[in-house]
Amino acid sequence: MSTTEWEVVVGLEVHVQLLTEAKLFSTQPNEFGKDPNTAVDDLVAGFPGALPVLNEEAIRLSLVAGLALGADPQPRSVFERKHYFYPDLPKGYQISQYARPLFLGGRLRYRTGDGETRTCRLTRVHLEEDAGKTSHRAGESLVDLNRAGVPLLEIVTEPDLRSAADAADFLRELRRVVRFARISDGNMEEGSLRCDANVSVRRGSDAPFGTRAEIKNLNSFRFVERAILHEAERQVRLLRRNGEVVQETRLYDEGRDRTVAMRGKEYAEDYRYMPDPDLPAVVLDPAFIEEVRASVPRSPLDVWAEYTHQGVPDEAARILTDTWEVADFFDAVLALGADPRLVAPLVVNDVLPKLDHAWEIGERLRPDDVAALISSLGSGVSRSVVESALTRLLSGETDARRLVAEVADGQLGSDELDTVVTAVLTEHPEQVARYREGHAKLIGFFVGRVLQASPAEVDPRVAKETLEKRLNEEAPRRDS
Amino acid sequence: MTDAGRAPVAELVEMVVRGRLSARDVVESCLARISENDGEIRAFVTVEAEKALARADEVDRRIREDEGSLPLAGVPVAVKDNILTRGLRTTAGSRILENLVPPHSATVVERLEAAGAVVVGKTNLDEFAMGSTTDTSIFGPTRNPVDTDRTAGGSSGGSAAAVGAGLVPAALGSDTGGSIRQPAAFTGTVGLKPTYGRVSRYGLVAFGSSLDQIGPFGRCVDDVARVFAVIAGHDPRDSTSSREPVPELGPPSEPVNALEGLRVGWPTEYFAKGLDPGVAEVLSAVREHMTSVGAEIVELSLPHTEYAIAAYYVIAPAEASSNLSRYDGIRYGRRATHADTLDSLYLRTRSEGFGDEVKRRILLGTFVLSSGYFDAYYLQAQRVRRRIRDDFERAFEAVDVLLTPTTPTPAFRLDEKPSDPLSLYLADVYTVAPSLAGVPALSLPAGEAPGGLPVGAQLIAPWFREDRLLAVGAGLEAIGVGG
Amino acid sequence: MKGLTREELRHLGHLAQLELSDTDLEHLEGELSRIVGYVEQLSAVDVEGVEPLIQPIALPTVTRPDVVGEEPSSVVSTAPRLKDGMYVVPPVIENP
Repeated sequence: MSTTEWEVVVGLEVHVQLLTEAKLFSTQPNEFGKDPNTAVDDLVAGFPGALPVLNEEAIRLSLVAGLALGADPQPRSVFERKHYFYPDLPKGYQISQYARPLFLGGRLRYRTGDGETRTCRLTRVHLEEDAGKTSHRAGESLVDLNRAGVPLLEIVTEPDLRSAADAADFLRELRRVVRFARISDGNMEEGSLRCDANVSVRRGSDAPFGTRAEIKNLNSFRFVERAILHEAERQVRLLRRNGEVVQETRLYDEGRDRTVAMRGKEYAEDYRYMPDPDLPAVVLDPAFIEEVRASVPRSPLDVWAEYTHQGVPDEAARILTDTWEVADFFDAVLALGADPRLVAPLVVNDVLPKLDHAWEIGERLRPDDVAALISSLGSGVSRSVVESALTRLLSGETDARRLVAEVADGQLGSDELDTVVTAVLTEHPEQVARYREGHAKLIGFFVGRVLQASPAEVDPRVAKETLEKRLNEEAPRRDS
Repeated sequence: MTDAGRAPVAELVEMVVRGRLSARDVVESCLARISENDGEIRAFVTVEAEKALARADEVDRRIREDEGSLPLAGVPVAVKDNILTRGLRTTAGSRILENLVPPHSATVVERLEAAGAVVVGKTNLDEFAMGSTTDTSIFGPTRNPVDTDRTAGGSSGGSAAAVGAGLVPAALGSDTGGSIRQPAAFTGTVGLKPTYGRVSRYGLVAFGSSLDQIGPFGRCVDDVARVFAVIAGHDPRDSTSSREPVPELGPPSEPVNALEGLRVGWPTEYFAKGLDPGVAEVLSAVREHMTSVGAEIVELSLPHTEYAIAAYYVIAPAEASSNLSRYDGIRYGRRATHADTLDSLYLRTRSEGFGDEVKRRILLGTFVLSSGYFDAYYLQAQRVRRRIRDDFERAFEAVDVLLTPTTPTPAFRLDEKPSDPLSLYLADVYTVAPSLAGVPALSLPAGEAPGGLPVGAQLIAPWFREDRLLAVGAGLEAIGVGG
Repeated sequence: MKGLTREELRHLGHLAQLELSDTDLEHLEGELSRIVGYVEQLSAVDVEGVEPLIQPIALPTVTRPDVVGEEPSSVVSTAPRLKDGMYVVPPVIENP
């Protein structure tokens, strides 16, 4: 698709599940993965006589999120009922916010894949309850209401995004922000972060906005990007043929990698929003807003910039700021005086790959142990020793200094290694000759022999290095 | 020995607590009365004698083991069938809930039982509390004990008739636009609609969420006061429940004192055309009585009264259409059989499960909430509602209570029920405005119209002043009003 | 006077998931038109600057602590049809 002729315009509606213990209006647990219908009480089941009571933590987390996104908290917001019939909506209405949302406005700065920093404005942020889940089997559908009533923050962007990649970049940063602010775990696979995209196209950036289609059901970054790409292409093809883009809801069909229209409806949907008479308006005390504002964490983008400013490579800094636990851990290590330029590669390349989840870092390692490892590196201890010590730390042992010493002791000293290498090379002159003729793969044979012959632990890489050095520098002077 | 069937609640409780009667005795004789007399009246739709007796035994045990104060010890109470009772079928008078046995009770029921009362059965009502005759109930109408050719009123007709016929001393009803007060007036009983937010709505099958209140029926004001004292008060399970403290409601030593110097508002709009002469006469007599003991009647205007029915019949159906969206047979209740598609499941379950009046109100409610009409109808009605509320606020700056008829006519004949829904709605003229404003209102038997038909007088007090209503009511009883 | 046409009634029936037969529509057209006609008088009231009154008493914001409560009762067991613990409905068609 020619980008110079057509411009893609995208706005996103992102739903983020909040990290509360209990649901938004019901005291049932907010927990993923439970057996079906084990987080259901009368309110969740839409039983007659049940009434909603607002969870205060959901308000606090929403406030943190909205403030982190630069949005304006509204002193008075109202819960409204959004009516439609669907089996996963037990009351026949969703409690949401419409005319008077918790927040208006907002903006998110984010880095694009090309390293540029862009800003996307937000229209509003509001609080609502999640619906249950319907699964489909032959001949019937089954409803699990465990998710019904979980608090959701809905974040609506202005149509400021200009490509599928742009939308994905924005979404990635939004995910980082909600995780960094500890208001959600932003997990697309588990459904705690979901995205709908509004896509339209126009001829050139000064043209009026085209008609937009809404794409739902996008549950991975990849799908978000592909769906928007394909939808934009579909619209351009349509318009080129002098067709018209219809305002409709479409789904992304992952199997066929394209968007498809949802089943047509005879009548337009009319949600008949009505202020919920069971719930008082949400009036926010200005003092409370300020208290929460003071507790909003720094943005991951700002921390990323701070780290690069301190000499950490850009990509490493990005990884360090993906997860607040990692950033906090990193900061703690630096606070002990360690050099960020050394800590960063250790954490990013050696620690994180060995963890099941990045956020476990603080549970598996102590900052002072890592600082000790860095300091060992600084005083000349070999990298392989440090890595062995690290492995032992990760398996539950403690006291980095002691471990480094043990590993180093247990390892063959370089003099002793030289002796072993000499012995091995002397024992196998044919192989030495063949290696020097060009059979480089024989190095593996030599390494094996050295490891076997060695009286103590040897790092294979160090053995290989030493062997290569000896084999190459001692290449016999060919009698000319 | 005092006839336990007719004794005031205070006396009954005294006898039970002192061991002169067991709760079981009281409940047994109550069940016998129901069994003998309810056939024609049909106040009750569910009576489970074994369960009731077991509860009575439990009360007796608590008394024996001196487990603390039981202000309603042994009192048999009937509960309107739109209030959840654990283990006891609760239908809301509808086919769609005809088989519902709730796993838990409403807050009011829990409080009654904690106070030693014994729920003996569930009473008839208009389907989902929408109506003024109980004849929209799947169980058929409840007849007025005073004249069984006439309606007991609605929607709490069953509870009113149960008390009116002397089957139980107390009953709970619910009032959205007059559903306690009108049946009280028709059956010659006392009925109280508390201030909105005074009594928990947790466990009440919702109809009009910003209007609904649960309240007591009794044979006299003191009985009503005692039940009210037990059920009223803040409930954390209801976000619209008020923290306003419930005042002391002890029986006054000199009830007439409540009337001396009392400023009684007489809203002219409530005494205009459409008022039956028999009713008008009774109210005039009440007015004279009150004046004769030192009350001051102040004629005043509640200028937006004429719009109250219109506002009510926009707001209540709107809320009803929303509250009834949950009935689809999927999680509870009656479900259409042989529905192969999701669409047909919803359509058939709901169409087969709801009666005509309910459908009418759902459609009306859907209309006023629908896109394009929401502002002109729903929001407009809510703005007028504020005006109506302000009328009461202004009135209460000048007077202590308002005195009005409860209904424009006495109970009408069952076969004379107006066929056009609108005509029936217009009869709610005196009860809907206090509901819209949220003020408390009491209907008291005030006399009889020709033919011996009971006439009710309505007393309206400022928000949260049920104490004043009950005191003035007791005062009126003391001077023989309605006696 | 605003009357309700059959077309509008059918649409309302769809929104409310109520099946309306021709006989139903016949009655309802008259009944509801009369009621709607009656409530139209609300437009005559001067409500300049008046906010809608959603709840009749002033209600402060009510919240509860973020604590998981006990399930009050086995409400799921009231379901007419359950399979593997899930509510059963006829198939929901999502894609065309």
